[in-house]
Amino acid sequence: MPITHDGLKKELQYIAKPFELNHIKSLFNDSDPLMHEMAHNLIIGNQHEVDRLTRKALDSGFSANTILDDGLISGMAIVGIKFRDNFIFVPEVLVAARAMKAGMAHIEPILSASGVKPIGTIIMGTVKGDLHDIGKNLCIMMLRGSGFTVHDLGVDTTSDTFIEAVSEHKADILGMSALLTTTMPNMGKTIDAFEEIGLRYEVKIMVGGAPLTQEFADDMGADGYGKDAISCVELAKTFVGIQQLNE
Amino acid sequence: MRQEVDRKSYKASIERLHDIFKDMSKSVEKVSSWRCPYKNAKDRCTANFGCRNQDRSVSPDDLYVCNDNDQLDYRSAWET
Repeated sequence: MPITHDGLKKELQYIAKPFELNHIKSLFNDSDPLMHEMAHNLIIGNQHEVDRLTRKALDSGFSANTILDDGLISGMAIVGIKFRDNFIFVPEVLVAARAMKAGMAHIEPILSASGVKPIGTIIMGTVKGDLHDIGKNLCIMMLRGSGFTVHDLGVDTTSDTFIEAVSEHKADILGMSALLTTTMPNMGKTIDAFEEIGLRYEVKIMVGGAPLTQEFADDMGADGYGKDAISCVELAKTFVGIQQLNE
Repeated sequence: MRQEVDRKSYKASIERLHDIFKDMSKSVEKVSSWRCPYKNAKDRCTANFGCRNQDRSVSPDDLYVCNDNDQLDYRSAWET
């Protein structure tokens, strides 16, 4: 059905490349107006509306596959284009991701009931003394999008909090972020804390953040280092045996 | 009627989402070289920490204005 939703039509104006515009239009021309409304609300980051519309769609008999493809992912595709072309920036991307999470909260039980389990459980946090979270939040967005369950501990996270969360959620992976050279050592202290209580080899530990290097990660005993968000996802997948690095 | 997911279709969807995120990751790297990632499209600051580029003369419910000119290293302005 051609797009009639005014908000979504306005979003298409941001797509300058004709082949991209035609592709996006073709996605929406085959989908229901409810999906157009859902995609628009995801793009503008209205998580409450995405939540409501996802519930409405499921109650109306739309399949989880259709909602995921035509409402959520199609909306995220436009977010990606707007971000690439500098119409929006990282904060808007994260707000859209939060809206997607609101929709996925209704899809995940259906996935689980169909035997599609999360590919792993990850605890993520910025270390003690550090309040920077943008990189961590981008990693979390992409990890969830890849099928991981992620528990976000936020910023200024102590070693004890990391340990409690890993134990409580039986996490496969712990991801720590630091943006300051002064807080980077707290990553090593957290790894030491895991060793002291005998939990070090129960969990894979990955680290990331602008001042970090592979060498630093190796020196402090981390299992891996992600230089950017997509590397973080690929590393996490290798930890749970999904893929080999450099494939 | 219990909903079921078409697993093959779901796998294709996740791969599509992964491609979108992979492109976003490249965009992040590119834009972060000149623009603070906490600065939104309305030039407001979304950081939960202080920064010398913040103009805090806004109403209590508003985000601070970001005065960075996107020309210099923004990280040096972050308060640590």
